[in-house]
Amino acid sequence: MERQIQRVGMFFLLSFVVLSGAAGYWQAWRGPALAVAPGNPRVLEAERRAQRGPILDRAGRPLVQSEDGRRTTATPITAHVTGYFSYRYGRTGIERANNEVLSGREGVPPLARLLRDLSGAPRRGGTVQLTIDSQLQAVADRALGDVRGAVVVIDVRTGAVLVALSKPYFDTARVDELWPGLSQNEARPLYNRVSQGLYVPGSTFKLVTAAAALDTGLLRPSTQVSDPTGETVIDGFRITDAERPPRPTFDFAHALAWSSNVVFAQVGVQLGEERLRDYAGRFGMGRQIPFELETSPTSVSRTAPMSRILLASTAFGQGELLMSPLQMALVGAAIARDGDVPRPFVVQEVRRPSGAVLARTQPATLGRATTPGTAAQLREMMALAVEEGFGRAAAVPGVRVGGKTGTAQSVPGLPDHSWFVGIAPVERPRLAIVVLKEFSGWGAEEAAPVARQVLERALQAVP
Amino acid sequence: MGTLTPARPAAGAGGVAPRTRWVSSPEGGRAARPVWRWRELGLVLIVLVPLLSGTVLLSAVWGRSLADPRFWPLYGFSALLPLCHFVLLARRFRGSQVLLPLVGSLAGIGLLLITRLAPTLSARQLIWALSGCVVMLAVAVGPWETRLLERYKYTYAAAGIALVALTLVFGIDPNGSGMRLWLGTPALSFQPSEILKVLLVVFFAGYLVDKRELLKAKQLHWGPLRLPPLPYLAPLLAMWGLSLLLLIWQRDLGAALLFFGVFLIMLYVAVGRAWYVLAGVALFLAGGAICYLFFAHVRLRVELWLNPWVDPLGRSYQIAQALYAAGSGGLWGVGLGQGYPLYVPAVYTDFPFMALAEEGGLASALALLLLYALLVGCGLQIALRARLPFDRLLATGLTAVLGLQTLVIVGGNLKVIPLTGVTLPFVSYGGSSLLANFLIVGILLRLSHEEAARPLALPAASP
Repeated sequence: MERQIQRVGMFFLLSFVVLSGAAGYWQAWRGPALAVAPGNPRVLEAERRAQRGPILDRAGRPLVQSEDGRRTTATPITAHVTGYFSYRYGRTGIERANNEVLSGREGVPPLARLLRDLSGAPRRGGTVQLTIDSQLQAVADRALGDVRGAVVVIDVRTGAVLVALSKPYFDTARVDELWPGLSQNEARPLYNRVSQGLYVPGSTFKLVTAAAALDTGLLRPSTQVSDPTGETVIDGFRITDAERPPRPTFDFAHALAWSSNVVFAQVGVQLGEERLRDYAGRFGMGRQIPFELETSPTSVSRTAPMSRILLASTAFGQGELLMSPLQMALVGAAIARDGDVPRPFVVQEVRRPSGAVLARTQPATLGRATTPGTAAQLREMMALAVEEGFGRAAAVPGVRVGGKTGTAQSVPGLPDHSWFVGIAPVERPRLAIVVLKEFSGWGAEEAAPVARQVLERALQAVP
Repeated sequence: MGTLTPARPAAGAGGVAPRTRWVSSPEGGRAARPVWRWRELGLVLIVLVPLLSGTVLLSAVWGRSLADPRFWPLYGFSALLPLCHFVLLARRFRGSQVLLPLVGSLAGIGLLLITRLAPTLSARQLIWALSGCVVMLAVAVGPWETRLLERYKYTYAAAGIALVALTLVFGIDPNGSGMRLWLGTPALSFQPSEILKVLLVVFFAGYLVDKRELLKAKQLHWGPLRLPPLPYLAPLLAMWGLSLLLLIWQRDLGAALLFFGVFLIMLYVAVGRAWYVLAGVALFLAGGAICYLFFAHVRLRVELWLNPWVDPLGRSYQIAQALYAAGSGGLWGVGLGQGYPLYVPAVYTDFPFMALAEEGGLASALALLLLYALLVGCGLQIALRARLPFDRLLATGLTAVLGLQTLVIVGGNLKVIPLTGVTLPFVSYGGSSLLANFLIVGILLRLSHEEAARPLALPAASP
């Protein structure tokens, strides 16, 4: 009997060894994979438990915060800047660009991280403070009205983006429930019109053509040009002005103010493709703009070499041009700061969970587009356009505002897209602004008044 | 070894057995110096360390005061253990000093886990543990004799069969497990199979001691096989039938496996022929195969066992979640109170091992297995030290119940064998199971005490 009992003991011992092996298999060998397996609810729990950091506007007002593991939004108008954070649909905007800091995976000192992991305390994320002024953005939202479009305001001295409004917007906190409607809506609310929207720029592009013509010495602002009939023919194609200039001959500065397609078509042909492309590229077109948010690259023309008529239409803003409001704002900003293109940014500062500053964005330049002299001439020409030309609706009492309107063909049968790009004050510019209203008609009537309302407030807000 | 068979006074042979004086009348030795149990006291105090530090940990993680009512059951149990020690001391108990600390640590871990997993149930579990300890102490030091177990073996067998019959007819399913394995009212019910396992072991021990010589000696030669006389095969077949009945009618695979396995172990120890074990295993496998072929629920169990990832959100949700839990625990665990074991359905009855594996890691899982291995070792040691065959067989059988039940449930948890619904001894939530297991430990303590108290000079006459 003794030996049998001993063998029973051996059986149990072996069985416990087998069970220990099985425990080791599941916990040590398969453990790391099981811990992060998609079906393991702990993956989601860890994300939920983590206190994701807030996103603040430039004044420290919270735009997005975390409450009980959910994102809450103060306002939908900054949706495209903050972006959304969803377990199902991923991340966009700042939620994507600064995810590591917001989630607390980065920006935590090694010792604090070790203590946190040992104690099992939930991750706390850092803070991202934006350059966006949410009150100014709200002004822009009201001014733009209930249309699709975008408003960008840049502090030209730094490149800080003060307003980046894209409409229609949505509540990013409810993206999971709203998703079917958002993703299939033909108005494409998920997409950030400011940096991802690509539009024909219309007459606003004449600034680039003018910059090339002045900078290469082809023309001066005082050079006399003529456009007596409001139309011309190039290679059999008829080119017309939207509105015939009031005088048959005038100087080049008035050609911009009155937005003469006829003059700019001829200027484009004289400049030639190479110089036009060169200057567009100097302003940043054709490459990826370095920016925290998603951007789409703009382009001058896919066709190379361009035909004369394509070159002519490109010069006054049609052709195959694809322009984003952000890129257009950089054109304005470059003119405002003596030809130097600023690098745009929306993140002012990133802070650790403790509040200590982790990184502060330093202003930078993307390169030089024109000489300071050319930029000064362009500023005066933009001022003229607001004082005497189509940009009159953008005038702000007591401040010299420079600007250029644009009316761009959209879809056949629908109203045009309406553009305005402006700078203020002309003498010592602080701000560059771009307004884009989709399918709304004439730039002078639609976009320019919006710019005025925003500039009025922005000039007070940004000393 | 079957040769060591001490003579035992014939039951009811008129003369009082010499050892009964030692057992049931401890006052006889009161003049002697007290039997200190320093080892037991030391071990009990050591057991309290993890129990109370676990309580402190939970209070820290939950942010609740240590005086919170939900921790009271743990304090109650911490007082209960030393109390048990002093009762044994006062009753001049001379048996194993390791058994009480072992089951105390297991029941303590169980109570800690239940406090963590289902705080509302811990008070009930403490009451059951308290009742269990009373039963254990009454059996260990109360005025009775183990001979009574041997003498009335058929009564116990009848009682056991009556229990099974009652459950078959009147069984209820108070907690919606889909199996009618309980007797009583939904408010107060007990699981007869828990009592049945003790009754069956007592009966087997008595029966096999009676018949072992016959089972061993007479053999029918049938080709190369040596069969025992057919009437004596009856218990084997009857037990097989009972197991299959449990399996088919009650769908209680765990109990079937447990009863049959314990029976085989006892048969092997009594008769000493491995042949019986092999035949028994073959019978069980054959029965299992037949069930697999003819019963959908058995087939489902096996299929989910072979591939739990085939339907992890549906039928295999429980086992998949349990494996996620264990895997997430890794080597050292996520910390008590800091994991998500409650994703595993019925975790505190069916998967406490996996909850410990998640929060305490592989280290704790192996430690728990070690405790069970020590418990089995301790029980088998008591069996080896016992000199009477009935005592030996009884101790082996009772130990095998605890050991096999642990193997079956932990093996099921770790996907080594198909999952069954038996409880993890002393750890799972459940009153019937706790009571029955404390009863088993009480009998083991009694056996070790009787052995220690028996005069060494007892003649060991060989037949």
